[in-house]
Amino acid sequence: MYAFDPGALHLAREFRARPIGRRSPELERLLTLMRGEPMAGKYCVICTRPHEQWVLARLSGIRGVPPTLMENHVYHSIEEAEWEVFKLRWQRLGGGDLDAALAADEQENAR
Amino acid sequence: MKTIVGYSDEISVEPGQAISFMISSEKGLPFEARVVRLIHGDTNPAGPGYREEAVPGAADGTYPGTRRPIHAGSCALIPAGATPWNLDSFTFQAMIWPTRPDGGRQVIASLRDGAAGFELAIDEAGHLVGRIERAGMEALVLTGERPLLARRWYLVALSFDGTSGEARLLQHPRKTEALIRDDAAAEGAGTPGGLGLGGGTLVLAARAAQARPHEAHYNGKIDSPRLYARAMELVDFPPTAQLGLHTPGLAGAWDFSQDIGGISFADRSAFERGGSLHQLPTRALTGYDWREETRCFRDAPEQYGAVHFHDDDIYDAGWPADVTWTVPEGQASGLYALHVTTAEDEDYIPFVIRPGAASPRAKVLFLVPTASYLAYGNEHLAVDAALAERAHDILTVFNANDVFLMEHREYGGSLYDTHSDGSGICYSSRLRPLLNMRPKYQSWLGGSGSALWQLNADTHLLDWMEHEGIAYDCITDEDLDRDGVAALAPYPCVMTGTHPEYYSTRMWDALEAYKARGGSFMAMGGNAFHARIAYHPSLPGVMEVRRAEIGNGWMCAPGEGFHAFTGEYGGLWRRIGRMPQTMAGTGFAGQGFDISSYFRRNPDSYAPRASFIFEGVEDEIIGDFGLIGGGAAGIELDRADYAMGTPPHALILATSENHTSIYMLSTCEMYINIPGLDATQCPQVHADLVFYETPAGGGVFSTGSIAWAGSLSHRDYDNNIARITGNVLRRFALGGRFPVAATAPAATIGD
Repeated sequence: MYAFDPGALHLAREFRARPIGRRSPELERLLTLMRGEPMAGKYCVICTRPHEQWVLARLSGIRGVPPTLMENHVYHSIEEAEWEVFKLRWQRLGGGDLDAALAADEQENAR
Repeated sequence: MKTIVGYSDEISVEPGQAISFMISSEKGLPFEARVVRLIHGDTNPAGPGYREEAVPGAADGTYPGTRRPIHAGSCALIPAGATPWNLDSFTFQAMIWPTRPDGGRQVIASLRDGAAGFELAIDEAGHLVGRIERAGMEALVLTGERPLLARRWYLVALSFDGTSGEARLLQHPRKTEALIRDDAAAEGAGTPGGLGLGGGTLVLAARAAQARPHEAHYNGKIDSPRLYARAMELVDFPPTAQLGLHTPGLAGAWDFSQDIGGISFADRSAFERGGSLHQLPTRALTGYDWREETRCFRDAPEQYGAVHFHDDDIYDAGWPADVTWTVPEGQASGLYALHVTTAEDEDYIPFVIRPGAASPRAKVLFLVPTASYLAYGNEHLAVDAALAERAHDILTVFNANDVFLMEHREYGGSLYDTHSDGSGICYSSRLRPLLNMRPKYQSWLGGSGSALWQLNADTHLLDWMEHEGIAYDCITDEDLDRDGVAALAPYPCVMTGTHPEYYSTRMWDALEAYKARGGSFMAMGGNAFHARIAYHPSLPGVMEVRRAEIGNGWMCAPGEGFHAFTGEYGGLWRRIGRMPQTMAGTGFAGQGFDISSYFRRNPDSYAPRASFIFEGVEDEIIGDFGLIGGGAAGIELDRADYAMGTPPHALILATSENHTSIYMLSTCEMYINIPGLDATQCPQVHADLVFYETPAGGGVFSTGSIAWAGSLSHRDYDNNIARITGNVLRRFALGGRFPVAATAPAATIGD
């Protein structure tokens, strides 16, 4: 089975550069894993102002139970939401703080 | 937050006819109503923006608002009829196939008259439980010692002897297994004394309730329920079959295998206590005695004596009318809606005004694909299944309507969804609010950009025609199914919506007859003419799908592939024997829901026969822009194939390319599991733009792509997609017939 690799920071960079659209086969595998996460607690966004504002939410996975809104996670583009959820899923998969990992990696490369 | 919703009694009306609207104002707030003509439902600021026109009239006004609930859940109702039940002793028995024995208390049968009655149910722990009540006496309750297991046939029975006061409960599986036991029996004794039950209605799969019509709905199949006016010994029950129809004391023997398309069922006992089904449980399903060599209920109806009840079945919300509007004479045909607003929310209830018998006709008829709207009505794919976000490759975006539907599963799902017990939903009705069949509504299925689907996506076509000053009439699929080719005949040009996927036989035949009469046809979508549906012959506003052989969200169980409503075989038209390529030159090839792509012209586009289509178009690349995913080729793609019915003289004008790996080959095109079935590696996954002439001199044009219409308004409606569409439409509508003289075929072997 395909397994998540927390060291594959190049995939995070590829996604950050283009959250929607064409992917490398390697990134596609990671996204298939991330986007197929269980319905209970699965991330989604609720559009609160069409074309303007989206709020992060988690599905209940239970029929009849609405998603839980995370009101302090508000976005002004889908791409912004995509990147944030990518980071949250990266963490869920055991990759830790992606922002910190990217920053450390960039620092390492700069040396 | 969604706080006002509604539906209408009709989806298509003509001038002079009335249409009623049923509204639930969830907070009881008063609402304003007005009729509008829908033009452009897309609110995307990157496009021309939302557009509607007010139609001032008698419906305009303020109305008191009432919150109206939906009581989902099906059951069977059997009144005593002319002869009272007269039960002092009784035995009730049935074959059952429970699907959610762990789903809380579910009543299999209940009969009550005043203080007397009985109930056979599944309790909270999944055990069979019988309850017998008599006036002035303590209730007698019997519980089976082992729980029922899901999706296994059982004979269940409850009997009571009024003379002795003894009661018996039986749960007998049809099939035994090693290591587990799921049979059960219980006996109990109460004070001697008859039940004394005279009238009342026997309810199967639920019980009568106070605050709502019925409660404690059962999930699963019930087959051959029978009631006897005497107690049976447990030994009277044959281990794997039922008691006969000639057993003394028979008070009712209900047969679900006859009149399978209807909602009534007969009693084979001498008392003729026929009953009726409420909220459309599923019929034409295999019974306990089905043998796998039988595929169709018509061949052996006795093997199809089961009805599958669900706690979320819904046919008719049954709300009273709040607003009624009579369409004025002379009102133009088109897509309309009742717009209802409260201080905090709004809803649009769309409907079509079709031309009346005396109405002048436009040259273009827009065939509003309401069957396909219903098929997707209240779709829950992205809530119930992880597949949505994978198929989309975009984080799923929900809106207020979606959240409302997540909370209100009693509004029912679409033909892609499953019931609460996991069985496929095969009936969809419009007599309930369909909150994704709305202008302004965005859907995850619509890809990136405007993210429109079905009705709202189709407004891209209406808006473009309005912009171009092209007069058009509208009819719905229901009109086409009812009126046949007569509904199309007045028009030189008929245009479909962006995703006319679901067709009844009559709809298909009508379009074929129209083409055979010389009519010209513009198929403006993808995954068109794909699956068969059946409208009910007498119940309004409901249709059926049977997903035989190839699934889409779910798949029929073996032996259940025939429509209850019509007896026709269900599934994909290509499997039934009608290739979509024979209808408009293209058929389903693949789909993806992320970004769209473009078409590249083929040499066929330079053929003299196609010159009218490309007049004013110099570009090789067509439609590399648009509101649906950024291109004209996207979402669902249909391709031409001469071996599959694309006419041999058809011109394949352009072919889409460069789709993402999210676009996968259609399951109906897959004959073996191999890697490389996405669009980056599989050449079949593309859309073709096709034109051909019919033998009667009509033209057929097919875009093969759902996204096409989203490109029409680009650059203020001045672009190659709009130009091509306009060239075709004007030629079809105004240009007369095409020359169709046959030419000699090329030399063949032997010459």
